[in-house]
Amino acid sequence: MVTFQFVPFHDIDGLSSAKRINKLLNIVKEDKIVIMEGRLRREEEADLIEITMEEIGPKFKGVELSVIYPDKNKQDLKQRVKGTFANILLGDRQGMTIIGPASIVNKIEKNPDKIELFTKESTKRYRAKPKKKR
Amino acid sequence: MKLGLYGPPNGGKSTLANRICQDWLGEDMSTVSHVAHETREINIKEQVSIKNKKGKELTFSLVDTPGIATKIDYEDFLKKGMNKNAAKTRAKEATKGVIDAIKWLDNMDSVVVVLDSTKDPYSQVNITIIGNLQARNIPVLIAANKMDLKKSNMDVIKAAFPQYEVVGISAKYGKNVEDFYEQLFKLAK
Repeated sequence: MVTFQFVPFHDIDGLSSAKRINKLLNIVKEDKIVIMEGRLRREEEADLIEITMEEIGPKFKGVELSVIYPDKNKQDLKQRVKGTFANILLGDRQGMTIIGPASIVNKIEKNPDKIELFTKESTKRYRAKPKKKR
Repeated sequence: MKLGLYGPPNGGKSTLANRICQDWLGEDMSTVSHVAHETREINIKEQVSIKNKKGKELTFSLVDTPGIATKIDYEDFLKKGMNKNAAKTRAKEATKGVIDAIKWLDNMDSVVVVLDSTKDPYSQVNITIIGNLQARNIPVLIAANKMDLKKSNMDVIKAAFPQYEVVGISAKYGKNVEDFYEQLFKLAK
């Protein structure tokens, strides 16, 4: 069984960068997959990788991470202006961030508007599937 | 000028570092391996001077960095034939290498992001590296490496990062490196 935990943006909005990252990583360390509304700041994404590396040990192997964000080149002017104002007023709530423990999530593929999440079990089964004889 | 080579593990950063150093200094800079995380420390080669067709010279310190990853599992190294102790040590050093590579971002004047052109470019590590360089206003050139391989797909890399200059190369065989050197001059402007 795989457990997903939704993290609304207002849950992390008022937190410092370090607290945001720790909150997300603590959920991942409980073997849950985080689905967060919005995205971290760019520097925070790098910090997340850094802190993940510091915490790697016998029980924690790291994370798989993916961010889906609206492609600004595909948005018209009205959508872009609305998005910019929404970001200023409410924080960067656009898009979605997925963070899963590497012990459970094998890979996350983005293509680029679709996300496919492969768990270790599903990858094993896929590999073990015998080829059809012709 | 400090020119950094950044990217995910096994993209060919150290192979490219060696190619540059062989072409212009006649010596290797880093060790390379098919096992990921061979480079686990920052390597610097000072005073690398390259010349373009017009005779213009560009001198820089070349910084080869450990591959940036979001996960490191020593068991992956066991599968490559390492013993448990060696695999655990490599994993520990690799995690430190990733931290150092991220910390060193602030020291770079220009960066070449080295990607394996046979692999999916939309990985979050690539996006995070490039996004962080953009946020720091550091000029970026993308080297789509391993273009000699059949699976190499330059169009996908270009489509993934349309705002950046992408140059296809084979660092191992020296394919298209002349174009790459020309792009370095543009990057350093």
